[in-house]
Amino acid sequence: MYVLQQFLIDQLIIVLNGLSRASTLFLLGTGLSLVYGMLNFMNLAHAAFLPLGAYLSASLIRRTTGVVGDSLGFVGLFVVFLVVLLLVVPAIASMVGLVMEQALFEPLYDLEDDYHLLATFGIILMMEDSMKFVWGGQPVSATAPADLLGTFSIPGGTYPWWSILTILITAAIAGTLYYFLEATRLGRITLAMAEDKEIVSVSGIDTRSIHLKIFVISVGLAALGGALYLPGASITTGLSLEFVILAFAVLVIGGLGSLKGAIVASLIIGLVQAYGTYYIPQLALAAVFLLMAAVILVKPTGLFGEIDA
Amino acid sequence: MLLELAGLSASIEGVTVLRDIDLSVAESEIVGIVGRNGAGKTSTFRSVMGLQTIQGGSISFDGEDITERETHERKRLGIGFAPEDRRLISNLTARENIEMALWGTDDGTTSVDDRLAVVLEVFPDMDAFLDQPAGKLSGGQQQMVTVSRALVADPNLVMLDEPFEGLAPSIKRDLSESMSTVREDLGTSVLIAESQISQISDFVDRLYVIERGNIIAETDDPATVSDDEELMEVISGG
Repeated sequence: MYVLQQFLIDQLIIVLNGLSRASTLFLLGTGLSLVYGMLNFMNLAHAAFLPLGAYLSASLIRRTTGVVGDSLGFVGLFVVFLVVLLLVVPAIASMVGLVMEQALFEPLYDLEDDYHLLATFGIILMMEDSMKFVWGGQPVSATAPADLLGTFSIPGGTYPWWSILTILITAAIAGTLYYFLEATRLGRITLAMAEDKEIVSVSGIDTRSIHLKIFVISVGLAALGGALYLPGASITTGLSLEFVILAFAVLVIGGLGSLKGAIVASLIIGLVQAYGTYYIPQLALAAVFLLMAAVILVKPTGLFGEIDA
Repeated sequence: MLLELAGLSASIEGVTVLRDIDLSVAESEIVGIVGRNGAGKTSTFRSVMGLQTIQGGSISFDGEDITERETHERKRLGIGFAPEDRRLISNLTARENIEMALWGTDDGTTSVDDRLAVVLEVFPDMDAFLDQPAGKLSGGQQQMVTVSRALVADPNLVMLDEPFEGLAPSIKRDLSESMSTVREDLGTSVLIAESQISQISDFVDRLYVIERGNIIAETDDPATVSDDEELMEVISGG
């Protein structure tokens, strides 16, 4: 009986860890997928906005805690943290992304795909070094928001409420994105651009303006992924390189340009990584790539490899 | 003149596809361009919409030089374009495909329903499938949606690139008959491209013949082209 109970508890923790990991991957991968869908532009540097969001969060959380930490109660401080992590950090990262789009990415759009990969990988390295210059090479953490929420008890241990909050916020964002693509004019145009950008332009729509809006939203989502990731983990240099591979796996497994694909692929990869880490930690990452290879062999366009919501 | 191409040359990836083209469309005029596949019809239309690399010459619309204008700006100035192969957005409904041509300029003063009603007068059969995904429509239905998308924003000029391609004879007839409605009821000029002169000779006011990127004939009597064996041989690619 005890063995069965422990097994079920282990499964619960693995699934929650998988969903938490999937949340981060979804917030990163969905923006990459949307931008790729619209422009056929594989922006590997998108992954660097996740650590940028995490580093910005670390600075702002420490500053916030130092300035107002003692004067606000639990609710007040929690609300301030949420505003910082959900709004301020994505907004700052989006502004950085907007400047980078115009200065670095836009000149690349008309080049061949090979140049996109090479140039944006170079930009990742540049961003990594810039973050190292600003925040240093030592691990950075800011656990105040997670500490504030604390943990809940499960037989034999505890689990952090922050991970549950991350999963819930990401689920709400996935729902909002689905509504955005299905029911708003900008969303419908985004889907149309993913299928035929030229026709959207011929229809009188300023596709450059639409692209910039989606780019900014995508960067904001990636930074939000970093902001939600930080309170539960310390970050260090090289995080972009770890996540770019996983974000790429989300695209390949889910199908390029598909929100549904990004959701399903993030869940699969998150769970595979969580189970792999628990049972065969040496092969946790390899399992993801075996899965990616299998999907490519069986369905080269990915599980949802058509343009849809 | 509503549309005027003067000495227009254009290229695709460095290969010249249009050479020194002079072409015009007056208000309320229906003008045809005939030529075999690859002669330069689509390149002419794409140049007018700003989708082609221009090497020389100019494009004027309603008295304004639009050669350097962005594609969406040209549409907003009053040029509707129905490309060959229809190119509908398969995941949007027929209604959304049509209304998309109003989204870029929607300032709240234009009633989408009113504009939709106008194109439904031209293609009343469309009412039955407006809310179906465009990817699931038949070829004839898709063509109606494509032409409607080009017309719905009340353009001064609509350009139709091989609109009869792949249509059943009855739908071709309906589409031909709608041309006079477009001109007379909507007051829209039409520039229409075809590879078969018989498709358009009944309703065009003037006709250009294009071959290898050059305009080789222009006439206001399409019958003279049909009677010219040499020209017909060029058009048919024989």
